[in-house]
Amino acid sequence: MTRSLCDRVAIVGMGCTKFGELWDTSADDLLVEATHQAIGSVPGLTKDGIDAYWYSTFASGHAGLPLAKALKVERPVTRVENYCASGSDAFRNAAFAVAAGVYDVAMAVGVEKLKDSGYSGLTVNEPPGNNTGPEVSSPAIYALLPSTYSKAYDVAPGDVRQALTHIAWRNHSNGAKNPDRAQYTSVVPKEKIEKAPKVAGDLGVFDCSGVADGAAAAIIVRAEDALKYTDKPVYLKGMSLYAGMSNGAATAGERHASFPEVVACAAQVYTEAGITDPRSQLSMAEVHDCFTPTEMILMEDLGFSERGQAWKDVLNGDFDLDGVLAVNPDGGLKSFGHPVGASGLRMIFELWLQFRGEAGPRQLTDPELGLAHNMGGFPGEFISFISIFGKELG
Amino acid sequence: MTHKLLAYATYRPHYTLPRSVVNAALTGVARGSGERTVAGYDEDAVSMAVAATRRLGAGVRSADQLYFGTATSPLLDKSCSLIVHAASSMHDRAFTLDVTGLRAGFGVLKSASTTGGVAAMADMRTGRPGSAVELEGGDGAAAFLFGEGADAVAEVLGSASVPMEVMDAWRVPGTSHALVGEDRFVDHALGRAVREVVSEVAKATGQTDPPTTSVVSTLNRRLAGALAASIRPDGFTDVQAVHRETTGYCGAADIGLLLADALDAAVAGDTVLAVSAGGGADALLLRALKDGPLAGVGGAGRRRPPGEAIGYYQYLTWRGEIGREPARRPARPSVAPPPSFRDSDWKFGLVGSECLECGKVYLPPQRVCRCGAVDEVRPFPVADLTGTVVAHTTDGVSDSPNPPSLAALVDFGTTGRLLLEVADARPSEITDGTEVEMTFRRTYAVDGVPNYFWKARPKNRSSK
Ligand SMILES: [Zn+2]
Repeated sequence: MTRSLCDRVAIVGMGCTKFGELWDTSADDLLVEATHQAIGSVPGLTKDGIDAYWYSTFASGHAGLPLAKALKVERPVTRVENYCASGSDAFRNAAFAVAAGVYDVAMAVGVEKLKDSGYSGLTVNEPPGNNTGPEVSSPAIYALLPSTYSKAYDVAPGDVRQALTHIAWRNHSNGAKNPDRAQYTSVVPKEKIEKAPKVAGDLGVFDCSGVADGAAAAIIVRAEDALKYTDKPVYLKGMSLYAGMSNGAATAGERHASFPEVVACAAQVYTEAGITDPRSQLSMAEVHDCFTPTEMILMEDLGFSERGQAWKDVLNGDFDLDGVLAVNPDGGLKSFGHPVGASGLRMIFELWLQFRGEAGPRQLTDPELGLAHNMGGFPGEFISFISIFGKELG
Repeated sequence: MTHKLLAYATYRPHYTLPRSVVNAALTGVARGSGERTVAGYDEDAVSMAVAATRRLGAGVRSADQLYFGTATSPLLDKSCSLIVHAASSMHDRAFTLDVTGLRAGFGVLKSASTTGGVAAMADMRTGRPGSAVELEGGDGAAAFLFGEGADAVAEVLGSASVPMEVMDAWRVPGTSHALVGEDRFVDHALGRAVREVVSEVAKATGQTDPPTTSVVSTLNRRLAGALAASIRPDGFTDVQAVHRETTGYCGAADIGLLLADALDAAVAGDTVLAVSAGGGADALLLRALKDGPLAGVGGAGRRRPPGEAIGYYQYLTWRGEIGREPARRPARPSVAPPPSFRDSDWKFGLVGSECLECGKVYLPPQRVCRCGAVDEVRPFPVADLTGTVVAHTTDGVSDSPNPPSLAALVDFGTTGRLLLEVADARPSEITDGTEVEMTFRRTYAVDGVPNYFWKARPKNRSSK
């Protein structure tokens, strides 16, 4: 039995660094910056007021010690790693602890320093294995999706291509309105997106999110205490996390055009949050646009589009900043890059800004409810996390 | 006693190197005819031996002996026959043995024909750029199953050997280039050895009439042709000529490839004399019990399906003669012995699991089924299945000596699917619905230690 955390915890402070190739900034620097921004956003709060930390990083540190050392705190610090959903899971566990009444104030902070490796993609240090995994890169794995989607719903490949281009164009356009924090802040013309060198299959460089360095942090308290810390708290309405059981490698449904973990995850979180029609009830959604086809399929798995219709809705501008449901208003992974341990919290940070009316040129008109979807892994074996937040209690 | 030949098979890699391409690169003049076979960058003697052995069919599984012959074993000290054994899904009480050197091919044939069992042989010939070894060499594999059975394809009439201490071919440990003695001296020594062995085999078998067909395996193409013609001037077929024109001398596997091609061209009652000329001479005389061709597609005498001709730069790169700037990617994991040991059935045999309760197939095998059953499984072998490409893509990120890498999601008509690398194909050769077969490959090496696993490749890619 899963019980709802709807309206039981709230975010009262947040911080987020600039994301990008931060050659002059260490992981420690990023942690200091994000946490102090977050603490500084809560009037009167000091470091001593944080009771416990959940610290997420995929590969930039081990155990809770890097955070304790960087911040000089003697507090419980738990390191969280759950692939690309690490930051989300740090938030999730901090929320549990506060809701349980064990701590009054918890911080979730995620960091990743990826550029130092010198590689353009994610690198995973797996334990010794039997070395039977195929050497197929992430872009190649996701490059299978446009064609399987096209076949599943009998959509012309050219139409799918246009939708992918639109997603890349829109997310970069949104990122251009986020110059303080996004890695890429230029509008990219659609023609340039389509003519870009191919990375894998039909996916060009603008169809793939890059890697980046960055950190983000959130301060979490019980909902009833929220107004003690800020007059503009953001309330958690529900959250859900699913780990795919890998029904045979690469089996993502017979048609390979949907992510079953996301569908299950969405069903649960909508129940928790009392959402019956996400497309009309949600004001915005931050989703995991690691590759443009991922975002297209997510529109259906999250219930924003009918099956086989996402490509059309995307092209119709439904998910643009001025559309019926703004998707990735901050620019998404496309504009930010993907510092694995930080991305989940970066998504929530945009909800935080939007609900507080602090999103500048991206500001949506009076958003009420928003969703953050963050996931890691591959079709067939995903970690999927969804959280829903609102501006008001009730 | 000798056993009958129950099955035979060959494996010639997909890629070829035209001799004119080598000469054009080295001398500016595109002279020379024909081509040699070239193992893919992800192949070696072990992987090619597996390909040939698996083509022998189900009889391999119950064979009690496996003799693996090669002069280019990918690992020393360790018995590579054990890899061939594991990847051929042979039973787990079989005897296996590695035989080394260029004479290993004849060695495994003679051993298996004596005791029964599998003779597998594979080799890659690498010489100095522009050398006869490089131009006249080839890569390939052959396998033979001997035993008792009413359905035999040939019987062994006898064999003879004339061992001779002679520096006709050698290679220094730790080096990759095969070296050979001076032509005219080798002609002299091996010519005498072959004349003697032909006489000896006649005495040993009582077969005083010349064989219907004779094939001679030795590096020097002219000498090989002259010796084969001298044994049976009017019975010389084009088996050997075609082999040399389209494949080349495949070292330890050469005698096997020639014998298989000769059997393909034979009719029941024909005798075939296979002579290995090197370090003296060894000969095996067989009588065909069935009409060929039994192994190859198209049989000997006809050219095998055209493979893909590669450039000289590509060849030199694959052979490690030229260093290549790799893609900037993380180091590949070194081979960890315990996990490979525990998961041998999967890694080497490509055997998944099928739930006895609900029929769900898991690739790789799983103990727990999503239906709730625990340890209610039976093995689900995949290596011999034909798969269908559900989706495919190029992969411009993964490092490959043969870019672009190809990946395919492969469906086996069951509930289990596999994402696999695709071997031996250009992007245009893979589409949705393409039928693929499984192929055991050397996926990479770390510090020279090879890692093996299976890939997909378009079905019917090379002669059998
Ligand atoms: Zn089952």
